[in-house]
Amino acid sequence: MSGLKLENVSYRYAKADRNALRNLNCSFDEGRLYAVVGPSGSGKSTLLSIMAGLDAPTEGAVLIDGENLGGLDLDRYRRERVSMIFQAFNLFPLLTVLENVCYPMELNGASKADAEIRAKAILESVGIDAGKHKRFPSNLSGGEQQRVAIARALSSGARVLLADEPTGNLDVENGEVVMDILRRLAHDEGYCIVVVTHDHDIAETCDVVYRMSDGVIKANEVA
Amino acid sequence: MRVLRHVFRSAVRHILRTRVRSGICVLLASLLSGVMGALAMTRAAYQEMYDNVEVKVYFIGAASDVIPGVPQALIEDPYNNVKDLYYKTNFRVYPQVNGTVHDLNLVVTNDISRAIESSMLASDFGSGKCVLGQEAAEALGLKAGDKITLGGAIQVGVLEILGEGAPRNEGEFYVPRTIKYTVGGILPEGGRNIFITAEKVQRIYNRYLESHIMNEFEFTVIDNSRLDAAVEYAELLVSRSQRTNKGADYVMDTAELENITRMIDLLNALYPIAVAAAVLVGLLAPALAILQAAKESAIHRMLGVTKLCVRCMLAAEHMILCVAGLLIAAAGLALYDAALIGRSIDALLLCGELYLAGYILAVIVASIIITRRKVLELLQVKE
Repeated sequence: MSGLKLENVSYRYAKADRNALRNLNCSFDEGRLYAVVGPSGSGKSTLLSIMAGLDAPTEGAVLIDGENLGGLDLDRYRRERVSMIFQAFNLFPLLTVLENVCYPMELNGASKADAEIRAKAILESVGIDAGKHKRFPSNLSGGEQQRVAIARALSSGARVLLADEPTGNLDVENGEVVMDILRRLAHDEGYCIVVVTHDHDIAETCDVVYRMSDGVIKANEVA
Repeated sequence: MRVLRHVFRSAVRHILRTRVRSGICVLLASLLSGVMGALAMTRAAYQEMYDNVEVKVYFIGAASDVIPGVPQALIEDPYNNVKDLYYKTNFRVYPQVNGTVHDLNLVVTNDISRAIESSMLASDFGSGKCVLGQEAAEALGLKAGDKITLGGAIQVGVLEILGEGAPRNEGEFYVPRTIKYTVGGILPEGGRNIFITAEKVQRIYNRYLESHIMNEFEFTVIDNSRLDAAVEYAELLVSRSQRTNKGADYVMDTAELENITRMIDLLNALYPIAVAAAVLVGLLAPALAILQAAKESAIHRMLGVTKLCVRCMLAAEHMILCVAGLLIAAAGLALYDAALIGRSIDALLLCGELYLAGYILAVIVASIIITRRKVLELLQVKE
């Protein structure tokens, strides 16, 4: 089964006196929705950073589809194999909705025409109709922006999607919409979705919950 | 090539979609570089004014014994900083014609046209020609075209006007030589003056003119930046004159030059400060703009754009704005005074290069700073 796997992963920040992650062993498989919960300082962000290839583990290995991340071009890894969405949406404010979604495809060499065709289809699949494609992110609601962010994350073709507090800036209704999209992507389309969250209610709706504390996974609950 | 296209397209799109901010950046660049350029041109203009001021040196009581040395000095002037040298000196002479002694004034000069203040060309009164005042001509019974021979000891006022081919008259003093002149013209307002050029006068004397104070003796400085050389030369001539006339002195009118020099000194003091300030502000502006783009840069990095590519996108955007500003400044300065640009081109190029160098440095440093920051720190919401 493909996906992400962490083997004995530890991480220590420079000048820190202890590890932010300690000997983590966990896997994230395609077709499932994972939640990583824990209090502030438990190591969630560090885990996310390592899984996204933004930091390298001090010890251990991160494997993507069986390949060690340490041997890969990490910029290319983030262009093609892993995507992220955030609490703050982090769309390009000066690009339209369509341009935001096309951007990862253009980075991977797609023509503008091809990218637009695919982007429109993805936007429709997450519920952003064509009338909003030419708008700028500031003209969208929070829920719409997050859905555009999901569309952008899907447009690169990556099969692993990391979500950092995706519902943190949304009301309950929009939060549920977003989680439904993520659940559908995992269950129906086989994506590996990892949601990092404080919200235990959100976590309870996921397939697998990793509870972190003090740099280690304390519990592993499977729904 | 694809990456370059992406970098350029991103930069241009960013500029076009932030028109106000981009316009301000261009305006700032054009103002700052324009100010530097304007100061450089003003310095050049004042320097040109300084160079074009005619500084004349007037001698008071210069002795005529410097005259023989002067033409030579013009050629061998060790200071090479003298032009338009002019002198004029007068001798009372008492020629006797047909038994009548006439009281005339012999004007010896190196430039008859100037001495008679005539608009006629100096070549009309070249070597071998003289000009007679109306009264002198009537006294001597001469007209234009007549030839006269001068002989005598000028210093004691004896001058004989000999007819063409007439034998010399030997008076109280032995006169070994004579000089011939053709009357080049009669000056109606010339009075009792006879104007001759000096180069042949020495022939009728057995020693240099001396013990005679010249009415006028002056020259113009060629190169105002070498005034010291002109002063040294003037003092040399004065010291020679003081052998005969202790009161010999010179006057060099540098009042206008001093005013311009004060302005040049002020500009020279201000210029480096203005350039440093302009470069500093020009350096800070893009640096701050880039630092503000840290989050957007982190989004690019999160999507898999390399650090180098992100830095290039930032650099490309800001370099386009900088170059646009410099071009606008150059166009503005050219419209103001295109000729002066040519004369101050070196300083202007230096200004542009300094500004550009500071800009590039700021862009590089700032883009490196923001691309080295942790991506997640910039993209996550702080708890």
